[in-house]
Amino acid sequence: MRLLVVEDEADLLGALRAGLARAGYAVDTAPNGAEALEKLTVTAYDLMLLDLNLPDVDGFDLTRRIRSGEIDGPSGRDVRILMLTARAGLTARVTGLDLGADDYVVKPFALAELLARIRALLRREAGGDDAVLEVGQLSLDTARRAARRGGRDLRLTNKEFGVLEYLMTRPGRVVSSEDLLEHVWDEHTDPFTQTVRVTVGTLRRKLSAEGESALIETVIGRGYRLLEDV
Amino acid sequence: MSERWARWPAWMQTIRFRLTLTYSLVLFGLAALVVAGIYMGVSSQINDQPVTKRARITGVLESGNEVRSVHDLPVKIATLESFENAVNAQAQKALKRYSLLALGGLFVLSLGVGWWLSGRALRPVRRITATAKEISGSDLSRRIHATGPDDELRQLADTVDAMLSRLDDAFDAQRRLVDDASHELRNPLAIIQTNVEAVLSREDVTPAERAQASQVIARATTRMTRLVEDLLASSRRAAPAFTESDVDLASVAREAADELALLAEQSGVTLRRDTAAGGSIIGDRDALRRAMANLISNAVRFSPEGGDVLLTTGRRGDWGYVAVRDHGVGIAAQDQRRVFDRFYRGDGHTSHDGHAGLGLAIVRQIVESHGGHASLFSALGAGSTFVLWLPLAPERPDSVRETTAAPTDFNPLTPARS
Repeated sequence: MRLLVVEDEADLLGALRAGLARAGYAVDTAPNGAEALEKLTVTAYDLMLLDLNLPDVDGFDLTRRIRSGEIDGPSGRDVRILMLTARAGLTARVTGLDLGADDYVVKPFALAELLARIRALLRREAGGDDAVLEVGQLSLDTARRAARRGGRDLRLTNKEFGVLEYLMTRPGRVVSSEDLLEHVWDEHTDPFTQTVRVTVGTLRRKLSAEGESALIETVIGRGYRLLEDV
Repeated sequence: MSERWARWPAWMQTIRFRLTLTYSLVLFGLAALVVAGIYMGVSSQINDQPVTKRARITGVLESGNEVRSVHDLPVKIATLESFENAVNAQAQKALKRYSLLALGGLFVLSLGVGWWLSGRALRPVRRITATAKEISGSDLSRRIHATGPDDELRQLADTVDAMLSRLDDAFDAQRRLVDDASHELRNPLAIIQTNVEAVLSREDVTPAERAQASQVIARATTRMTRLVEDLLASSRRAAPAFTESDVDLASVAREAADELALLAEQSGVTLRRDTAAGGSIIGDRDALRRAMANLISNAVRFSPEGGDVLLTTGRRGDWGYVAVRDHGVGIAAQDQRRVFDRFYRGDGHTSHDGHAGLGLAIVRQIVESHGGHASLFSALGAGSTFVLWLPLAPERPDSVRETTAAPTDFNPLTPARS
């Protein structure tokens, strides 16, 4: 899952990026509204953390422009927006949510709560109603970051977990490696890298123990598909 | 005392009751004096003079229809004098009775009239009380809005209204300050909490990451400390009670410069002083020093290394001034009006140096609470000059001086402009 964090406090941005990356998200950052818009027009983000007091533009304004479809980009007008702000007043909270924010978190916040809210929002996008994704024998607990096949615990790295999560929210559908690169890796990744292929390879090996069927199918020229084992 | 009153029924504790009683007693006393005077006057008058003047008879018979010679009969003769005396006594008795009756009636009547009158006079007071009762601490927007002639009670109501307005404004300002402050405190708090939770509290971080997070937290803490100090200074100034004394502008400016000498030295900025002239004003020495120190510290921080800051004091007409000039980046024309606002930041990036944006707001607050003005002359790339104008104390304390407006358009550091 790839997030865009728009925040002008460099000190907060650094720690947020660290905390989110540790939770397995691919994190891009923008210190102001202009850069945020630029990134939104290039990358499809799953969720955006938005500070309201930006040096060049008001967060409310940015939200309005995104929701009105004025900003044309792969993230689209429906990108999840979580407002993360020092404006604690009732009016600000109501305005924010009415303008189309999906959630509103007031600073200071507990990282654990922020992560839970992010998971909840992403879950809503995937159509699930709890933190555990299940496809056949595979289950993925996004809150505890634990994956199992049958009764067996899988020890996955953050990126492997991210790839599996992305595939599990789209079971049976072909997902291109560009899609994976865009949603699981962040902006600092070389677009011509082999990392997706390598990660999918190790994930595929970890998913199947001796004698178990392979779960990730390579569709040549198109991408990968998660199979349902019964 | 109050305990003795407390045992009385509520209606007897009212001003209305006391007014009525006082009014009636005074009226009764006066009437009694008048009646006593009349009574004494009348009785002395009728004792002195006979009712009949130049009477030829000296006596009449007391009984019987036959008139006989007084010498024939052994009857008791009442002299005319004793007869008159009896009539007089009768009249005096009647006068006394009616006077006392009238006095009693007057007292009862005056009680009623007094009760009615005082109730009428005190009616606006009851309205003021009722309104004041409705006004709670959170809603100070209500007013009494007294109508009618401009009498004492109307003035009282208007005074209460004016007081409520001032309170309302003060509460508003305080609420805004608290809102602003809590907003401004949330960012460093978020920085600290996130750094603790995302970095410091985890086992799997490198020492370098740990060190960096500690540094970030230290920065955020400094920022909060400065903010809290500024807030305290700001709210202390907002409080009406502060010590006023004769303050020599030049010497306070020198003290402020001494405070900032170390910062200037560390920043590689030369702090020049020209504080020979000045004047004496009446004010709060600590607050004024803080205002000047804030200006100097801003000037030093916005100066490039090797730059210089000039501090100068002087006077023009009835106004003394303190001016601070730097050769920093300057402030764009459209931002100049807002620099004295709370939490205003030049371009959104100065927040990262830990500057909360309260400094100039406090300067303005301090200067304005002394009846002065803060003004700014600046151009992008040419540096800024901040001038604090303060009304000088009159030479003789009893002299009434015509107040002239502060020469805020005059920049003392570029005399050519004037």
